[in-house]
Amino acid sequence: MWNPTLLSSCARAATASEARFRINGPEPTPRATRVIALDPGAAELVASAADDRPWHGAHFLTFESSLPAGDGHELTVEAVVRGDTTADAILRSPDGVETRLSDELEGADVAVMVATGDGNPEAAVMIGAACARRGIMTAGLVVPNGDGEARRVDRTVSMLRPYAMVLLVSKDKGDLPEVLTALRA
Amino acid sequence: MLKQDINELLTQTGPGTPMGELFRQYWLPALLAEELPEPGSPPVRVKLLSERMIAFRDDDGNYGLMDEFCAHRGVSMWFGKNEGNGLRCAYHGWKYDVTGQCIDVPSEPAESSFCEKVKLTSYPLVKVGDILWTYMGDPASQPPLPEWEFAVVPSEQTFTSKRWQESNWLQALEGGIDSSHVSWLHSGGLKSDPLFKGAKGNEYNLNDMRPFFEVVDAEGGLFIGARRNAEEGHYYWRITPWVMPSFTMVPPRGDHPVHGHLWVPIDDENCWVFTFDYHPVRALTPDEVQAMKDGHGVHNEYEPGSFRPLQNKDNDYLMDREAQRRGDTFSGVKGIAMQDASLQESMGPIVDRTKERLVSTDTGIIKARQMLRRSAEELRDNGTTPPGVDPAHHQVRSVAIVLPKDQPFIEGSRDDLTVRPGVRQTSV
Repeated sequence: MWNPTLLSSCARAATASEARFRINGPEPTPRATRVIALDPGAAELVASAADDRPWHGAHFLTFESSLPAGDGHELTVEAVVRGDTTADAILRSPDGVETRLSDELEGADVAVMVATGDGNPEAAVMIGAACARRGIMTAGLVVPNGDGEARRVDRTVSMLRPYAMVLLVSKDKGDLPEVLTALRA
Repeated sequence: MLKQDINELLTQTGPGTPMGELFRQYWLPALLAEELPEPGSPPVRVKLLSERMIAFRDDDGNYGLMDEFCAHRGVSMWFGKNEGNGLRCAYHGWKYDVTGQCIDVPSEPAESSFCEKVKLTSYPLVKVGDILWTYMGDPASQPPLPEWEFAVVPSEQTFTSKRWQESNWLQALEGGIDSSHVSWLHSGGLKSDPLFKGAKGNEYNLNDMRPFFEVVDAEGGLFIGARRNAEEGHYYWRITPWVMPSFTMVPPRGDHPVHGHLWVPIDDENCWVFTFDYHPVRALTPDEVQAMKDGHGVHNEYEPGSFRPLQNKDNDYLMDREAQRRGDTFSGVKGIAMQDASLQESMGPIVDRTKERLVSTDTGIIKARQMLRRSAEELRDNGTTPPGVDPAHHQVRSVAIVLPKDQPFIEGSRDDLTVRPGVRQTSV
């Protein structure tokens, strides 16, 4: 016996008219995003992005300094990932409010590290490892400042590589707000 | 996520739209040269950027691409008779040469110059490699001919096919930029496909299913690097170039031919996927060419007499649940090309990007969209020529390479990412 196939019961449902019947779910929830500048040049970019448009709860921060652990453990990636050290870091928002890295990463979905050619290796280690320990997605954006020596930029990229699942190297200073918007930050 | 107005800007390519004007800055693949194989060949209907045209060759072998419809009563010139120096309308005999100039109106007196005042819109049509290319923009801004390596190597070193995809061009292109789906959707083909198997790089692919990504600006677009763990202290990199607006290359495997795509809008709900395979320094073997014709690698099989894939939405892409269960294919659909096309068509003709939830590994897509939008706006507002028009931007290659962990891929493969005539591709 021949069984009629409804249009919506096969791949032919991928028509413009059938697209009207896709369930119109609620607006996707924003991702809890932490945008952290690793050096002074990046701090300007991050502060500018913070003012660029209304965000859905993204936190914009600059790495100030690490807080050495009082436990005698050396600050290494392995130690931070294993949780063998209580090392932490001080971050600062564009309006000057000081906060701790460990506090900022509570409940975060993704951390976007921003660097220019003056990148800070210690900051990348600290943030990258702390995110790895907590299972937080990491991304890196490298925007060479000025004419930036290629070698300095390469060093910054190499520094970030182990800690960023995705790295974008771009001359375009407008990339940061674009990427954050696409990620619903 | 994209706002609705930006999604529309990127996906609409008809005349007068910003993205349509952007595409009209480039030489675009219009049809395969084999579709007009000899002087006097039957005319072929061509639709690009929402414009319907007719392509034909006169008896001298000249190529023509012009408005499909006769200026007299608007009938399709596809029914026309290709005779001597032009194409004659089947309705009342009006005849046009390859420039669209009317050269005969039989109903007018023999001495009449009426036909000189009738001209159909036409575009240049030029053969480079296996493809007939057209330029649909302002003639005063016509750029030099394309110089993609696959199109300029000797003919025995290259093979091109095309297929119809029932989706907007952008979601097809985005599949070519999105390296993160390869480890999943295409995981079944690396061991068995005659155009992939046997490469050392396949082992790195299969042993590390969680690649990391790096996206770097290039003169004509982007380089997108996907790295996986290799031997101690090294990464295996697969580097995909994207050149504006719609050229992508797949990183090579071993000494297999290198392949890639050009994604060309037919209209806003359909696109052509031109797919090439070439080897920079040697002829393709008969077995390789046969495998391509049989639909292996990134090519596909066809419904007889058409460029519509044999696997299509009318037959659920010949879904094979047993093959999916066994792990022969991840999605149950056979072949790289149709694995991609089936999923991209399932999104709908124009996917609603206001609802998507992008993640960090989609950064290549995010950046490409941004470059396309900005280039379209710069062209519209300031007349700025977009990246990818200059043939110097065509001199790119994809690369598969093992590098020390601390070496940026762009530095470690700078020469390899550039066309070097007579030098084989860099591959693992």
